[in-house]
Amino acid sequence: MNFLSPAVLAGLGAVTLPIAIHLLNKLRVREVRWAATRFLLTAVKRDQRRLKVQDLLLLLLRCAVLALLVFAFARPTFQPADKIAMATGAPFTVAVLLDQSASMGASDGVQTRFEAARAQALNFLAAFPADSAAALFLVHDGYSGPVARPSTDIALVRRNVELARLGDRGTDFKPALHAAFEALRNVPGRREIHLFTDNQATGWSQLAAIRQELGTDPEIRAVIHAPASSTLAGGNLAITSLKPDTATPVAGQPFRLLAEIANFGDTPVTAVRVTLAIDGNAPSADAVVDQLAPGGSRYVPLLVRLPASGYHTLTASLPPDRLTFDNTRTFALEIAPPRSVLIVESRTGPAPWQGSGHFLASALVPVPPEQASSYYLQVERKTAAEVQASQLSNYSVIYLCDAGPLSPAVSTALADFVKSGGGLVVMPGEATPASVYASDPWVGLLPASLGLPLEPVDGAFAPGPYNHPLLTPWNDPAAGTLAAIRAARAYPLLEMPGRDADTILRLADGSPFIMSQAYENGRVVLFAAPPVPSWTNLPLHPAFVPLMHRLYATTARTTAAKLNLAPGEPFQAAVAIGGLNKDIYLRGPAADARPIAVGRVELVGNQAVVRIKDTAAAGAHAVFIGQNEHPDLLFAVQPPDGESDLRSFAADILDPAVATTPKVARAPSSEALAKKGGFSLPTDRQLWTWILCAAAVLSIAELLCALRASRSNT
Amino acid sequence: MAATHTLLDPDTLSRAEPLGLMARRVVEGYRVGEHRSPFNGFAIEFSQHREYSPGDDPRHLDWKILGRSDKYYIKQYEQDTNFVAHLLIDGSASMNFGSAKITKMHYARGLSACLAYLILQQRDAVTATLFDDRPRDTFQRTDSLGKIHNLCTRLTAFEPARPGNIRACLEDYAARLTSRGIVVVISDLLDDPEEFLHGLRRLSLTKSEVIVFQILDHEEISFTLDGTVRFLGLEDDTRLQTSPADLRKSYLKAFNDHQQTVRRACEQCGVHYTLCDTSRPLAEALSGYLAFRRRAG
Repeated sequence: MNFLSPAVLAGLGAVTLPIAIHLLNKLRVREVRWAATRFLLTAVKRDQRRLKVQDLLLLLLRCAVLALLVFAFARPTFQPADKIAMATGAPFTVAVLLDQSASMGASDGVQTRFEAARAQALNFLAAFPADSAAALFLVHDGYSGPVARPSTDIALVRRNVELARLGDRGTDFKPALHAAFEALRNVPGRREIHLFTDNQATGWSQLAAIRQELGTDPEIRAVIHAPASSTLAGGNLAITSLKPDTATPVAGQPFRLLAEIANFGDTPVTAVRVTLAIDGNAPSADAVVDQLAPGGSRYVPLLVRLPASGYHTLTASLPPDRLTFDNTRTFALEIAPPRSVLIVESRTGPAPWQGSGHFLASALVPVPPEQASSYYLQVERKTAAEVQASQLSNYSVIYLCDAGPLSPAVSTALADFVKSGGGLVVMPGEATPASVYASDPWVGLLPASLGLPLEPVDGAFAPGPYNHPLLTPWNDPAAGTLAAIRAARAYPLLEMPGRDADTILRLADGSPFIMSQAYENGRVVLFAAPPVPSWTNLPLHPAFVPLMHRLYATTARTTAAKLNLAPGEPFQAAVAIGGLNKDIYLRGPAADARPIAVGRVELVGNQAVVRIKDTAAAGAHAVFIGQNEHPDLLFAVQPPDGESDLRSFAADILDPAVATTPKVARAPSSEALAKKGGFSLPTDRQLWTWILCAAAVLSIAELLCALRASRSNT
Repeated sequence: MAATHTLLDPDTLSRAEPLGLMARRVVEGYRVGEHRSPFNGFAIEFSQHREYSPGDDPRHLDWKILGRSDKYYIKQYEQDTNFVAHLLIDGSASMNFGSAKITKMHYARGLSACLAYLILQQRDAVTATLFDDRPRDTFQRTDSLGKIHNLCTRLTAFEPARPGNIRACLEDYAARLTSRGIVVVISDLLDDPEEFLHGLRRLSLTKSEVIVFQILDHEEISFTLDGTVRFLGLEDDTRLQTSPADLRKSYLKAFNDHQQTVRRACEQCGVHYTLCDTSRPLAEALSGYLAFRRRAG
């Protein structure tokens, strides 16, 4: 405990007043010659002890009342001594850290924690003594340093605090504390770090390292200004995840998303309605979660029919609560135009079913022939001899399904095709000379080398569980099992050491059946057998169609752009070369946001690239190139799911002796809510009102004691 | 004369004189007066006969009975007589206390003088004794009103200085009392009430009528002192510094207990008890008592 007005403590001398008055009364004695002394002596004998105790009690009460009054006027506080010293005017150097992570958006109904923390930081700076210096760091999962070096221009620091805005990024105190520590390390005099935050527990994931670093220079003190309560009235529901459950988004086709709804409150919630809107329009789908226990989460499927090809955003929403950033989550996707795939096969006759790619083609276009032209996949079937190297770039994926030997030119073109982002699926069969794949460019292109075909002892597919994302649907028994699939014949896939290849599926005997490998911008998938019944019953199995579609989705050439980003993660996408040097405008997720110029299209290598760094705000972002009215690109920033968990540590968490257990969630007290600004800071609380109340209570007690004594003596 | 004027308050005497001081009991006197005598003598009114016994004065023989029946009977008579009032005045040091203009001693002097005046005026006799731990000054019996001045002078001249011992004094006086009369005890009775009771019992055994006037200062009764006071005992070495306000309740309880004991002792001995508060006029206290006495017969 410290005092804001310690000089008033000199008034503690007033405590001697009652004692002095008591003694003066004792000294001011009147002598009386008295006859009836026997009654006096009887009375004294009877009451002496009571009177002494009573006198002593009254004296103590009076002294205590005076002492409490003096204490109250000295304005005792839990503020650390350094803040008190600040009020005394001694210059010092401070690094102010203002938490602008998403969790600071929690509101008490009047203002957010960020607003309260910012106001407190401004008050803190307003009381700065002359010649003191301050640096400013804005804290999220990284940090930014508007005033990275301590500056005596406090007005500049205050202005930057005023300009600070709440972000949607996560929390990690380590980088900012490290930066602040480094900024103060070589500064002479008293140095302090003041962190204005909600002290969210997830931000202290590197607590041990932080403590260790701060311990290297104990003269740099770190003070945390955190609210007393970590919970929100009414709880907090959040969408912590939004991911597709359909392999390939196809225009006009149903598309399934899985939204994970989590309850971070301390009471169960019921009938939670989740909606899904496309491109910010009215909700197209919704679902209701019947009940969600405290701390629980649930995946909710949302099914929508996708619009036309192009970039789109899907936004899932929850009813609003006091932490808004996690009530919506946006997923951006690109619906590709109808794509062509090429199946290179061997044929035994002119009929389609006489080609080795018949089953594969049927699986890729599983619709009646009259609808095939409108299907998003257009399949072309050719023999190896018909393939022309110059036409390969027209396809997104090329399947070599028991294809005959390819010319070296085609082989080289295939390698280039994969390098540029194309997908290649190699399914060697009887017509495939394994020796061909032992030469360049196939040695580097394929994830494994091929042996001679043989009949496996146990050709069954390995039963689950499957770890590869391609096969995870078959971990659900309701989706059937792949263990019923057998391979009568198969090429041994010989894994090559040092090769970064995935084994997607193995046979029961452990030998690989499907392997995959990234090759520059593209991907190559190698099967041990072609999808023909003479080799395997895979094409006859119900899993064949979804497996082929999922395989297509993972290997197809799509835009290289990553459309769903974490806050702060830069966005980068290749665009048509015609856009080079045009201005880039970005429209943020805010409802009233307008496009803002953020740079120009750059030339990277031989591609025109859009680069955007400012992606702090969660939600859908639209990118305009040049003066286009409609966005050329859409991407989404998804907030970190950990920010929704508002559990926090105590303000003394930097003390190595303090246990790192987050506070138990509890409802904020009415006192905390009533406190101005709703931002109750125990490290900052002044006690004078409580002490005045105590003095009043003691005064009343003294009065009652005096009255009682007076009554008992009359 | 100055002492007489001081002690004999005209107002007191004018209010008390009509009431007089009638002997409530039969008193022994030495001359014919207004009061009945216990002696059956030769005087006025026949009372009874009794058989002659050797040693009787033959002058009291009833010669008529002797003549008729040849038996010896003595005639006995009732006779009116005056009484002797014994004023026992406490002159112990405690009587020197007075919170107002007058002390208890002054009040006792006035009361004694007024009583003596009334008694002498009705041709009864008075004797007065001032005592503390023993009888100090005795004013010899007189029935002359003219001697009242001497009495007043003696009363005024006495200054209380010693501690009292009322039991010893009362017992001593009772032992020396040769005839029944009225014994008036004037004291503050601040001694041990048990001691007082013993003395009073001894006095009542003399078959004299005993009247007790307790003289107390108003402050002793109400104990309204404030502030810090150092009390100095008048009769002992007590030195006590305290806040009277704190002790008031306990003091008054002890005082009232004492008063109850005194009153009970007086009742047990058939003694008239009168409390005189020095803050009240003497006339009021004296006339009040005499009126009560007249009513009681």
